[in-house]
Amino acid sequence: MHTTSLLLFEDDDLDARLITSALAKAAPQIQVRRAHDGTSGLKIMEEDRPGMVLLDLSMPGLSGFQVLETIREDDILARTPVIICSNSDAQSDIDESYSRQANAYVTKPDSGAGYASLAEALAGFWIETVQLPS
Amino acid sequence: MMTAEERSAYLNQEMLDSTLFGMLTAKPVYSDEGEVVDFEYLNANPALYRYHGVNPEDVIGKRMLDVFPDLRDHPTLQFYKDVAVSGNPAAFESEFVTRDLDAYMLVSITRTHAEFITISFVEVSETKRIMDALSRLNAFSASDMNLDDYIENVLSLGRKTFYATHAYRVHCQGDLCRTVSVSVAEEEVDSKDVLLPETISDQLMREGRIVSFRHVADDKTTKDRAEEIRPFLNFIGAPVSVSSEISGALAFCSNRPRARDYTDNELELAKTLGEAVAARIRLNGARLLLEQRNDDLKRFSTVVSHDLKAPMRHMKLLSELLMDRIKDDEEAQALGQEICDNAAEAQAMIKALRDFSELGDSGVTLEKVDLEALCGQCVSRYAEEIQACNAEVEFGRLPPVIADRILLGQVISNLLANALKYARSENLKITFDCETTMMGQSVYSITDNGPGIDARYAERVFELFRQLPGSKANGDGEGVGLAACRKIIDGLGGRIWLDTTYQSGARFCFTLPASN
Repeated sequence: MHTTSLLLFEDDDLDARLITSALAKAAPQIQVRRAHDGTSGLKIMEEDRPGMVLLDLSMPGLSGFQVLETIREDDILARTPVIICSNSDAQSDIDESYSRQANAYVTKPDSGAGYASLAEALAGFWIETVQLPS
Repeated sequence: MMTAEERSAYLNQEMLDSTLFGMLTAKPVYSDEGEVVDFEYLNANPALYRYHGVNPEDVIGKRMLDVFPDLRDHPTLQFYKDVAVSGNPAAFESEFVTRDLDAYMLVSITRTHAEFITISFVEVSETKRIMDALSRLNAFSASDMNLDDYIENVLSLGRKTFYATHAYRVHCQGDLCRTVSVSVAEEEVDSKDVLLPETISDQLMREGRIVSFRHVADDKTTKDRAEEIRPFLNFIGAPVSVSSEISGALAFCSNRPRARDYTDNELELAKTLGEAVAARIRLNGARLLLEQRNDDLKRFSTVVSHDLKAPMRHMKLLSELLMDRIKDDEEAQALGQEICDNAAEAQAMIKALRDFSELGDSGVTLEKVDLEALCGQCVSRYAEEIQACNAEVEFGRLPPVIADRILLGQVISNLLANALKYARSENLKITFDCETTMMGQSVYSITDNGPGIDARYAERVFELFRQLPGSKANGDGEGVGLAACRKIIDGLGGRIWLDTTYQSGARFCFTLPASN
């Protein structure tokens, strides 16, 4: 079983709580850290590189796009898989995220069952299936 | 009793003084070789001033070619000479062009006493010139040009019609109503702002009067400043009043005096031009307001659809969490489920609202659309529902249209879904058809044999989220379908309506602009 760390950029407490507990159930081996905003999240990334990032788009201060851009411009952080998890299902946001080299885009679920299946899908693919960078 | 001679003398003088015809008597001037080379005026009537801006006493005793040097090379000069020599009268229509006159004159020349000739003339072109100007004004008033272009067109039209060298739009800035800009000059484009003489602007802007003078020297109020106020040596101008306030004026003027006074017709035209510009400004204001309202509405729906999304999602999540805690309480469970369902319905409405506000945002691609095929596709998309209500779908003759395939498909789908949703009769029959009106326009229709829609709601059915009495909300973005149809068809330049004359069910009709 792989162990990895995931950094969650999420300003909303309810969303953070739900995704964290769903991930804890689906993939207990993942260590989840949470940043309340972009700036503090980027600081955590520099000190302690996470294996992957779950990034909200709409946050106070730096937007998700700005965070993504900063990650992709950094020589070392650039290779971190970033999955956008946003409230928005606007095609423009989805396109923009992939243009800025997000690895995946999911919209936030609107039910407990939705969170459970999202967490399982994330764990099943990003933890169990793919090879992650060093 | 007056003698015939006395009578005729009296009549002649009366006639001469009052007639609108210009009349002159002249005797030929001969060269050494005995050829007629010029004429000397013996008499003239006051109407001369009306056409040429000269008084009779200024021409009597003078040579014709000195008074009217333009006649020297004029083709009609020969007619005068011929009449003087042969005695055969001549009448002709002649274009008479000088710096500030481009007129058609009806001229009649007769030889009266011995060798004297009498010339009478009247301008026949002024009415035509004003009518031309009005019809051109009408033509470009009907077009969709922007305000600045429109005003430039009006200025150019007025300048040509009044034989002016300059045309200006006069702006009013606070108390100073004198700044002038947008000039349409005769030769080079001279868009320099100039100050409108105060006396003119006072009459125009404060008193709201039409102002005109043929020569500034005649205009007592501006006389002493004549030298300072080029190009205002002759002037005609009209105020532009928008909502009973004078917001500006049009000014047509020249850096030379004009031979004749402005006529009543010309004053009337100036007034009309000022009113046309005022009407355009009002129209433009209404359009800007409408555009702004549309932008506001768009922004509002974007904000609503984006910002309400998260709280609605949370409401649904929280009610779920709450229900997890109160599993034993059935009543509380039911209430929690209601919160959940309501939140879900609000989510659907928000999504529908956003989809509606974004309709057509990704651009419109006009192409020839095979409407029969498109309707066929829509019908097959609803195959399940059609089968469920045992409906029969029929097609009449559907000629191809020029439209956006995807958007038009949405219209057809929405109309079809609407018929399926509300019709609910035993043997539902839905018919797609097309009729051509007497004007040659194609009217497309979709008809069902269901309960129909009350004519009172013919317009309301197209409003966003409007629920009709008796219809049941199903939480699936209800009340958007027909609003979307109207938005799409309007956007494509067509029209969509409920045919209230159809009594055996509901019939929706739409038109699209004819292909070019």
